[in-house]
Amino acid sequence: MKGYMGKILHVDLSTGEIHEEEIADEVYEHFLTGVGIGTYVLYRDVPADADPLGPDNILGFTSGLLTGTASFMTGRWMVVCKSPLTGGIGDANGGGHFAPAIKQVGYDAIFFKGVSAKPVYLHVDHRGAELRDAAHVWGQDAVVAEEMLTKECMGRKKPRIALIGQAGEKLSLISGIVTDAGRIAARAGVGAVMGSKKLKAVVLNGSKRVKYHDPDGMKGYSQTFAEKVRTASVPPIISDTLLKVIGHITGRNRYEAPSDGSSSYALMKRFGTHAGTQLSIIAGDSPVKNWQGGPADYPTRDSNKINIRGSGIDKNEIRKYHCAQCAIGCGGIVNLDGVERASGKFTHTHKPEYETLAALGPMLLNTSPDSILYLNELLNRAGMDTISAGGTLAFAIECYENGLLTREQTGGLELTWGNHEAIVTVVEQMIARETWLGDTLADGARRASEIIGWGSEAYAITAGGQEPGMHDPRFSVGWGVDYSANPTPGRHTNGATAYSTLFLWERVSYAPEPQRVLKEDLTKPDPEYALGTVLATQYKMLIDAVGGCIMGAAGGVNGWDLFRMLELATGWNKTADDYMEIGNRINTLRQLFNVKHGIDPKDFLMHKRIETPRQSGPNRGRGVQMEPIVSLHWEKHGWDPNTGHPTNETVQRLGLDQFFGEVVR
Amino acid sequence: MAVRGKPTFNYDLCVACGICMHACAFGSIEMTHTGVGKMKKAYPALDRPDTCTGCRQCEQQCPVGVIAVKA
Repeated sequence: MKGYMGKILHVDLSTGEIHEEEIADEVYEHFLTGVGIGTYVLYRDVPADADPLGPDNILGFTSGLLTGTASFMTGRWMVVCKSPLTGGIGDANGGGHFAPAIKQVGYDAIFFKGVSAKPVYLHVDHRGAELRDAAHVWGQDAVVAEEMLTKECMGRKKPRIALIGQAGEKLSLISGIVTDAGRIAARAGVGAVMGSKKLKAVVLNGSKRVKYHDPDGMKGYSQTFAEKVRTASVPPIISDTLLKVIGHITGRNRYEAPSDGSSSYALMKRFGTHAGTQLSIIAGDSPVKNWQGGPADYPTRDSNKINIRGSGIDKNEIRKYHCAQCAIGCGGIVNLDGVERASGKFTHTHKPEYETLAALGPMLLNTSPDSILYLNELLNRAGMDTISAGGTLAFAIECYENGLLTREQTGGLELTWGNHEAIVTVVEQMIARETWLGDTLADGARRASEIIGWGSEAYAITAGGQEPGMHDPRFSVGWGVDYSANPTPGRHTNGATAYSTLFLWERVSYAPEPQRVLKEDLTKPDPEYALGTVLATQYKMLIDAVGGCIMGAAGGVNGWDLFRMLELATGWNKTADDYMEIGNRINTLRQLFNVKHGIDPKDFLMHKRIETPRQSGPNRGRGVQMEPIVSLHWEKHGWDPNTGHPTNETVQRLGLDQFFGEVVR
Repeated sequence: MAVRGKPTFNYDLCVACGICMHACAFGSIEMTHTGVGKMKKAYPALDRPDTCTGCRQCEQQCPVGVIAVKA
């Protein structure tokens, strides 16, 4: 009666054995579910020398503790594994409708180990779990395969399916796992792990109910939240013109200060994340030309082509949709009728997110919205990460422009900035892995630079091997902390930069209220700012442990009260400080996983290109050296400031040694 | 034998969260109702009324109380 199901499912793909494990209440109280229980099982069961693409690695699909309750913004699922891209812990999360289905078949999470001899999928319904032959769907893209499996497995209700496309099957290290006809948990190479296990899909069709402490109280709180969202609306005056003006004002603002992010509810409800693209480019938030350019390199006449009007996304939106338990609904389906490349192939696509537009637009100086819409659908179907694909393409273009890739190696393609014809062709080759170039780039920029050599690592902009999200630390240094200090580096949803919008200082006894600070001052280590980045990171662990969405969290704890919802679900009578300690415990265990697996946390520092100050534009004069800033972040987290390893005192205080005995540190 | 009811939805207050769709054990509800307001949103609808048993789970689990199961 606390919102969790009390057990997890283990599937050994080498032997075909399937068994349940009951989880003690004590484990839930210390780790919750979602990323928490995922990390708990990974730390416990993955041996230190496990090959990420071998039988000893474990791939876990987890739901959140609040998923299946009457709470809002809590329907996301998480996938966890040892990442083949970074070598450390890997996780990614997705929306859609897969998360409730995990609990509806009776489990908080499903874990796979071993490697199947032939392609299989797992089917779970009220009769139990079984592995089935997947030869007929192996080789199909994720959308086609989902349609086939939906028909094949239709029960009383439609099954919910997570699966890989061609990229995961071909072990691309930048591949993800797909649900809902093209939504993707994209990061950390989780698709390659699934492909290495010959596991095409997980098909769930259950109807078990989630029992929890106070359903009436939860509904009462949800009605309050729904009213906030219902009354949040975008004034008709909001247009591309006004967003451009806001972009210029934001770019000229030299300060970071607390801000109420609840207005994002209205923008997300009306448009989705794509609306902020041009604003972010103008303000200096979006990386341009492989992190070496600025707004002047992708001027307004260019960004006009991928803004709300220019991209055609808003005009051609067929319908909006919500993920499970979402009151906002930032998703949408866009008609591709006018996109020539898609003709005869695809009729529609999910509305491209900001990250996709930025990675395939200004990063490549690409001004063709049609190419981005086409690539969005192509990559979603193949199950390849659009952020890493964009980062890797930018790397390849810079190599070609500087003579490190020859025309012979590109197969005659003029792989130059903005050449969208060549960009589309290279992505098709990356998915197919059929040419030398496509095969080389399919594993991301760092692996490609190791093959190409000639100093090309200077152009491979990654954090720990993963291409960072589309936000420049020179615009807001918190992004650099996210990319460099998180045990899953390079992620755009880790939270450190969000502290000033979370209002944790109104709930957590030791959380400092952020002051108005010059951005220049934050390019040097700042103790109070460092504590904020730690608290925001730990709070994000709670979000990922309950199935939460950062669009809900954007309104701060006064807009979307995670602590209260946890109390209504569990009845534990914990304080906000108690819950923050759980966030600390989860993130510390993620770092311990990396230490156990031989990762030097300093190897995850973001590429040094961001140390170079911009000469002009909104970020002029600002370069960021991450090492001292990350060192202070580690210290505030209770980790050794020199090594990044959690200290003995922290491990004991969080009780981690009680669960795992001698932990590696 | 009592006639079992079927759900009706108040679209003025519905937030399209889909909780009712997931609550339905019989696949009776899908997010297929469009044409409400200007937002082009897909709202829940009793898509397969023949499979609905009138169990009221959708009504009980709706966080915002917009579902009424009526005979």
